[in-house]
Amino acid sequence: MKKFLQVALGVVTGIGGFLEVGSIATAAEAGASFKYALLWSIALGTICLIFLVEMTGRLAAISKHAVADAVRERLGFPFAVIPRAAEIIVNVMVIGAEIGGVSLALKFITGIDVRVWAIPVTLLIWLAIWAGTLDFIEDATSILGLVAIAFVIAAVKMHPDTHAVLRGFIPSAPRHDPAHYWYIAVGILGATISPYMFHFYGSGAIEDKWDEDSLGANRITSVLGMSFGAVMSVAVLVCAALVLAPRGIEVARYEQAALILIPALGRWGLPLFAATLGVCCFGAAIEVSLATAYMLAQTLGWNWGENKKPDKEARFSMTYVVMLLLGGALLLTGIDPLKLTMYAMALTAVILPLIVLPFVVLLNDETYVHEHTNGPIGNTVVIVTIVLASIVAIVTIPLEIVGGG
Amino acid sequence: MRRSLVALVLLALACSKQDAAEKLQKSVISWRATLQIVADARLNNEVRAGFALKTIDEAVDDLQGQSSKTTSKGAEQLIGLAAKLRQATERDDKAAIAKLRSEMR
Repeated sequence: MKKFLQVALGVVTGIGGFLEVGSIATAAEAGASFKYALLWSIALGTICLIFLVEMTGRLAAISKHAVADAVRERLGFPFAVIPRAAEIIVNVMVIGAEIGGVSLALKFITGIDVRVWAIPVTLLIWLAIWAGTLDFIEDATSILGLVAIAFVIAAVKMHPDTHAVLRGFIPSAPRHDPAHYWYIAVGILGATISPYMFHFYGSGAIEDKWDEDSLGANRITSVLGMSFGAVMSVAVLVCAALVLAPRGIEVARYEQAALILIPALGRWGLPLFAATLGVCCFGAAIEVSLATAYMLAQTLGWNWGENKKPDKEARFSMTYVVMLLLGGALLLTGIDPLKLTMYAMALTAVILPLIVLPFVVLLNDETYVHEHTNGPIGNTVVIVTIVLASIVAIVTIPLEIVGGG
Repeated sequence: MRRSLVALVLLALACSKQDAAEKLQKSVISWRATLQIVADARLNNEVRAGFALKTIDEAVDDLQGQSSKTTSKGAEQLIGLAAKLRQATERDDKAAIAKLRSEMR
């Protein structure tokens, strides 16, 4: 029964953790601009994510090492420095985008400007991390994140053409605006294969004292949790394809994306969109802040743990405080939250090869994972992800200039 | 050499101007449809007046920003309609909103 509950909670965590400002923005823009044609990129990103998250959990359960910790130990500090520094920069942008997402949700409800909300929202996120335990944070944001099911209900209610939706899962060349098409595809991959999830998931597994017996639950959680999360993302894209695309609406501002639930859900549409955006971004801001603190503490050999009192690991706590402050400050500059999101997702895709590369070494090293090394399928997926991520890293900057709008 | 450089610069300027005009044209279509949905939603009480006003402001802000680079009659006309829609929404004048909604077709 306890195992079942652990798996159920993991699946719910996957739903709540998957959907955040990046996945909502990129999916809505994809649906609005290219109907179902970019569904394949969500599917591709999800397959890669399932394998990588499962590997992260396996590494933690068997070796008691999170990814950053193991990279420093196995490959040396100089190898770890560049990817971690890149992640910190990108994570500041992602945290800014997530705080922006919560602030936008509040703006939709109250009409008060995003910049006014930036500071209270940042403080509220800090308070949740400072006062809450890891279990509380995971459970609360995950269960509240179930509100995202509204997108699935809306998509079903609008009766999409099933064949057209299924055709979207087959990669195809764009019929128009190729630079914008590939720019969004890169953004979707960046939003789906989020490196912070590896640090958060692996470190959480160590905090929850996973062992060899947890491997089954880890596998089920990775597959079902991430798949259900992806279904939400697909539903956002389908809703945008049905509501925005036929009318020629492009998502230039978040207000346009916020309209996608109204035709199906009427007066509940906007509050449910705002609730989903707010809850999911709140949870994601906590996860990214903690993931950065985990990563930095493990790389520099500090004490770490969300379940410990903040004064017991002051440098760990200081890291997430500074990250939150930097993210909040980014919003105060007046930057457009949607543009910040799209840049953050594209840059996430740029640093992906650096983050994923060590998985090949660590998950094939018996001193870390004993007999639970990667099989041929796992290794193929990691290598494909690295190749894909490297191509994406090379083309992202030119695409951002040409297709970013 | 200098002539070809000037020609290249002029070509680049022409392309960017064409791009800006094309982008503005797409934005006019996009914001027109957005304002139609917002007007419909306001008529059916599906969104608060505050949200409708903010969306109208975003439309005007985006269109005015792009209009500084290139001119478009469609954009000017839509900005005018958006201003009227804003006033009607502020007054909660459903008849005026319905009339402006039909003018946006």
